[in-house]
Amino acid sequence: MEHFEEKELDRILRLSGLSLSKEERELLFSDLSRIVPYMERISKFGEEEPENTFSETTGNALLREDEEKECILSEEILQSAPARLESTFTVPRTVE
Amino acid sequence: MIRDEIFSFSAFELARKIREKQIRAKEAVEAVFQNIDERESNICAYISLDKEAAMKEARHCDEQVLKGGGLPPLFGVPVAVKDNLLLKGRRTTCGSRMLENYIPPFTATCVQKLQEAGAIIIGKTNMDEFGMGISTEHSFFGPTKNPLDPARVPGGSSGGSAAAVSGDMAFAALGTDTGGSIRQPAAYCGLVGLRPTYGTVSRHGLVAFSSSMDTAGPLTRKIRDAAGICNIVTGADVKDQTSVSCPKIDISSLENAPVKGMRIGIPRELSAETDFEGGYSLAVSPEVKNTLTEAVRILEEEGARVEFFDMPILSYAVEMYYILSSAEASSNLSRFDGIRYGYRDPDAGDLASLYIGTRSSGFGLEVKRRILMGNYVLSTEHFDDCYRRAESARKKLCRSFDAAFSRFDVLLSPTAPQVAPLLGESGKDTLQNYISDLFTVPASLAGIPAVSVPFGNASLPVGMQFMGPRFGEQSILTAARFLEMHQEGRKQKELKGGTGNA
Repeated sequence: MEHFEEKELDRILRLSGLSLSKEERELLFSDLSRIVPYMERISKFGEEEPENTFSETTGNALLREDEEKECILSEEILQSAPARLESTFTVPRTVE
Repeated sequence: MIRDEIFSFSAFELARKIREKQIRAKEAVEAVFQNIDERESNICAYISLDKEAAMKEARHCDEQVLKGGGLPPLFGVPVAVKDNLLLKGRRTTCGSRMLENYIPPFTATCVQKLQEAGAIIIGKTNMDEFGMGISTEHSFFGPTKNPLDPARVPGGSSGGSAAAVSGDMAFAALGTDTGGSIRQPAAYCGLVGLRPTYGTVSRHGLVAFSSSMDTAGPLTRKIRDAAGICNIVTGADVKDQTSVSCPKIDISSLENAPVKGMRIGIPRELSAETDFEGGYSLAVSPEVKNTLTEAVRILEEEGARVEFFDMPILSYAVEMYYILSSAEASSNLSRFDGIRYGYRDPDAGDLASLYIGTRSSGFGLEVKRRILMGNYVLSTEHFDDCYRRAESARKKLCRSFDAAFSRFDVLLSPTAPQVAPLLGESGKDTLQNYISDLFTVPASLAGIPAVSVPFGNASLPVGMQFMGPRFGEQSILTAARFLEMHQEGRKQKELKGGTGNA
């Protein structure tokens, strides 16, 4: 992309589940207008077809035995919920 | 024992003194909290402290000493932990409003290993939000300052851990390093910072930023402490599929730091003024250049074979890092939706506004920037030209490192292109900040071990970085220990000179 455009910012904001204040928008648009062309230098790296991209940094995956174990109690997890009703998380109503 | 004397001991020396009943664990914890009482209001190294729990543990340690029997290697030593590592029942915030009041239901494996080794966790340290930053100015809880010069930043994102150790407010600390977040703050605060080989330290309980690069590791005053803590926290863990077992570091053989005959490579791209295609450049400060020159000189004098070489792919490392880490961050941070844990927007009326409102007011500016960058490179239009190309380049970078390590035992570079900047300077040019990560991100991308060791006689600390092949911790710590020994000799000479002149 030669120039990062406002409509591109709107698109990735939607994808990101974010909204910005006016000041944040001005600052991030200005930053991304410089950062995106810099990141896109990578597209010039090697003209050949990109290689397979499996992880280079890990060995064989370590697997657990398939056996029953005691889990963290749901009460401990629910204690961190921003809103709960008995043993459930609560969210705004989605069906009228 | 007076406080200064207690802080003259390394972490493992202190543990030995406690086991041998020369110091009580209670004295060590009290000494740490006396320093915290005097300094913390100015430095802001910690997000949370628990003096009562630390004192209780110290009393328990002292009782154990009286009972006798075998005691673990870090017994009674006050240690700090970065606030993105979970500690059951203790608030873990990641420096974010999003997790301001989060109490985890389990402990990170690496923290648990420290506790099993006898360490007393005294507090959780400040950090750039979710590990995204290089100055610890991007924390919801305010910036941390550098104890060596409070007008300057301590580096980041593990700046709180670095400041706690550098300011004698802990004997050692755990940090995490995604693109340099252990090594760069260690360099700015005059400490040793070790990023172990990726996978050797379990990520279970480390709040994810970039899962293919996140690695926990120690920040310490001495190489021996870093090696000892690395031996404690490493090892395969069934709770982390990417974890691997690794050879333990032979600490006694580090002592004389045999570097004679060691083959040391210096990539030209990481040594001096670096210009990139497109008019971008990274300026290396004169004190950093001079320190590298001095390190090369003494290594050669000792019989090491030092050679500069070209590794052109390194000039793309910053793009690779910001594309891949932002992509992974945007995915990892999508879990913060205000439903199961963490902050929730209190004004949201429906589910869609709950998600957007929570994320928009729960995340800070730098985190939003990274999420946007991540979703940009992962979107259909840019995936092939950005994300896929960066993954491919990463693979080539790994092969270039393999080739380099067929010629050299370790690689050397500065850790950062400059000394610690003044507070507020880092926020002025985001792109230039990103480019300044050039020295640390290559090891992160390749998953190889790297250590920063303080070296030289500049007015502010400068860090030299050694990188090694996977599981090459022994070699990089040997080379770093050599510079540390030289530095200790220099300080002793200065002290003697000072005494003579007085």
